[in-house]
Amino acid sequence: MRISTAQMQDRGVTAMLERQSELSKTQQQVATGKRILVPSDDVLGSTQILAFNKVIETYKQFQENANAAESRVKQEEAALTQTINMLQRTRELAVQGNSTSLGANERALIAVEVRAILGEMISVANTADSNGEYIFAGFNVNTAPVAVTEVPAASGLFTYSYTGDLGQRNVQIGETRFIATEDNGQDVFMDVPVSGGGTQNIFETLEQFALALEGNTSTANVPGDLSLAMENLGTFRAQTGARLNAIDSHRALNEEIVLQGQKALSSIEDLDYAEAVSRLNLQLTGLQAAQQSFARIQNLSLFNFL
Amino acid sequence: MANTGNMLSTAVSGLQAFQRNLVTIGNNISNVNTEGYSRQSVELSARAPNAASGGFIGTGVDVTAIRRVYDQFLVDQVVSRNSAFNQLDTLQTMASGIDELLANDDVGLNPAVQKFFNAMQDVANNPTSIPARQVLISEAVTLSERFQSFDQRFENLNDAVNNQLKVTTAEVSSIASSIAELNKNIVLQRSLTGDQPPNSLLDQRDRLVNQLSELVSVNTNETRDGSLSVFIGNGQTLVLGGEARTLSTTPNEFDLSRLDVSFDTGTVSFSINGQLNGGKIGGLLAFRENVLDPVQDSMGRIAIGLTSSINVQHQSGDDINGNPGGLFFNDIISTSPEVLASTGNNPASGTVSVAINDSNLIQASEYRLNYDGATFSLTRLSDNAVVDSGFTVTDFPRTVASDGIALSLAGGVSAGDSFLIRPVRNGAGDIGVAISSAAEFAGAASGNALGDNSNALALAALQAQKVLGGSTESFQSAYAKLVSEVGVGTREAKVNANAQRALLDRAVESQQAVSGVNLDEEAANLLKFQQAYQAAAQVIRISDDIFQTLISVTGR
Repeated sequence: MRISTAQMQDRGVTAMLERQSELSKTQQQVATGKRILVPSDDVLGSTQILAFNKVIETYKQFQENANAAESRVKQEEAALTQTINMLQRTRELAVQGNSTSLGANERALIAVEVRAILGEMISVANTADSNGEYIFAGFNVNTAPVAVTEVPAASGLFTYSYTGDLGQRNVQIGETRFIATEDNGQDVFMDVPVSGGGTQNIFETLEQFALALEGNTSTANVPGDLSLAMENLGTFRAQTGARLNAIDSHRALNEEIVLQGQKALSSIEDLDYAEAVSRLNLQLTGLQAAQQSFARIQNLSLFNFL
Repeated sequence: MANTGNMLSTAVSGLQAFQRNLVTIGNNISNVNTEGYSRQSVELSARAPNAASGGFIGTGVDVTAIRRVYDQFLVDQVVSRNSAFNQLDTLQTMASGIDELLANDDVGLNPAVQKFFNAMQDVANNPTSIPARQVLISEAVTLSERFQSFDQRFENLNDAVNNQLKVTTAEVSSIASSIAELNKNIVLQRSLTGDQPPNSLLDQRDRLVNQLSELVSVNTNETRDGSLSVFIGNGQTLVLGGEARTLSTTPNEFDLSRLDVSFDTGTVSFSINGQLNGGKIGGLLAFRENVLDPVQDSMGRIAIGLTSSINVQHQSGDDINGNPGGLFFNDIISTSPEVLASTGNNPASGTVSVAINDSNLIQASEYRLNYDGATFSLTRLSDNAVVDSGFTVTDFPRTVASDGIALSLAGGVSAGDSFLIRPVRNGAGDIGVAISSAAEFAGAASGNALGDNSNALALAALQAQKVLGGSTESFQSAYAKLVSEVGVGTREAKVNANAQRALLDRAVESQQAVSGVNLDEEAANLLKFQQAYQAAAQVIRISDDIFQTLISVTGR
């Protein structure tokens, strides 16, 4: 076929430009470390990247949620443990106070310790977290849930009431898994069964115990009531343990999902450097060959021989 | 004596012919780099011989014409492939701009959506924390700005299309008028020279046709007098003999911010948008119709779906002070749907408005409402499906349940009235955050105290919920679908543009194989005609020798 001189020149130049643009793309891939520079490079791959990024970021958030839930549940667990320990000590005192060998003065001394424990227990029930939220207040987190009122005023007689509500907050730690992060004070401290039937809040139980000691009257029912209270709190503490276990296992699961996602993402998104560098070399050779052949062919002309 | 005279004139005819050839070769060489130049060759023919007693004696050579070496079929092929290539190349270039934008880590939508919902989870973890709420609001602002910057980019692309349409239609008009001028000149030159081809004028005209084909598909037809008629679109005559018509741009009948291509006959002007294809103009129109508009509708739909489902959920909760939640995002589901009346409507006609009933069912499309004097018909433009028809003025307000919209009519209508309905087009541009203070975020379920996070959890759950496309798509899957559609479209345009480029290259090669100048060939021809010229000169010298011999013999 005839070929025109201009066409030959064009062909040479086009060949060089094409090699250069291939080279530039490879260079960009090597520089960014990414195989897909724009979605049209690999449409399926780029939508998979979007999907995996979503999974990874969502599960990372679940991990953060799990951490937040863990710290709240642990706080509740600590408060419950502390309260149970105090009840334990009170029960020991009650057993001691029931002894017939004790006189009124000795019993009054025990009452002093009981009142100290009572004060401590109220303060634990009114524990606030780092944000200043009362953890046993249900949703009414800005008000200390256990209120102490002296009725009648200046009588030295106190009643204990719950100002929180029955709300329970959940935190999402998996696609469909929600974890409760606290229990309300009503269930934990207020609606506590007593040996005579019915319920009574544990503060009242301690108050009455102290009054009985001070008045040197019978405290025979107290150890049993305190056992029931410990049982009640023990149930809630067991639940917090179960929640912490669930958080742990979900965290391991989430970790695995993030890891798998990152692996999959990397296999789609990341450049195979060995392949890219060898391609780069090949393209460099191609460009060189195109340049050399262009220079040599352009030198050829019949006019050189005339 | 007659014989010597014959010999001289025969040789001189050769000298003249070869000189013409040498000049033509020189011209070919000089134009080796002239775009659109067709090599020329000298057409020679033997002169009529003289009858003599011994037979016919040749009388030399005549130059009958200097012609372009040319093949109309090959030239036409270059022209048509040039149009096809330029359309796809323009489409590909414009679409790449969106393609790059959508999946970019820094400016794409997905990271912003993700951060927004993650911030929502953080609020659910700490519902009374003011800093966590402030982060949420600032992520919402970032998300809105992301939508808006997309929309700004789309508007910029629309402006770019408008500007390029202005420039290209002006170019078409100017080329058309140049072709008409050349037609006049060519007809004139041919009549003056007895139909000799005015080669350089013909080359110029071919080149202009080729330039025209870069802008829009053209058909040509050469008439007997040598002038070329040029047709575009559905056979609109752009050039006829020495007369040219013009292309220009006019605002779209519905949306004045979009320019249509219109054809001016000198007396009337009408839009030929739908009839044009090929070339840059075809590429620009295809880009706007098949890429830009659908993408803008898709982003608008996602923006409206996202904001309305967040708003509905947010308004069902209580804020930190126990007040019912207000709007979280601007109420774009109410404010951004619009209806544009055709400028061709009866001025006395009333207005149509559109409302979105169900954001789950809204489609990324425009609609066209036509009235024929008795009934209306509503066409969804993304797939040209008639979604509702046969209803009358008394049927308003008209709910189109399948598409989640409802139409209202205020005032009368006249036969031929037409409305363009855009439920979602402006969504991405109009989005904004309504909530201003962190305390107003309604994280608690209605009636619950501030420590409740259940509404925040419900809001966070919207990320994974399929609240679009008739409960088939989440926000992010709708976005991924958009990315893949644009990616596929761009890839297709790239692949097709490359294929068309290869075809165009082949066509140019074939055409150049016939018409292009090859310097080696010209050098060889130069030698050939130089030798022939020298030979003819020798004949003259010999005829002189013969003459001298005769003189010396007779003169003695």
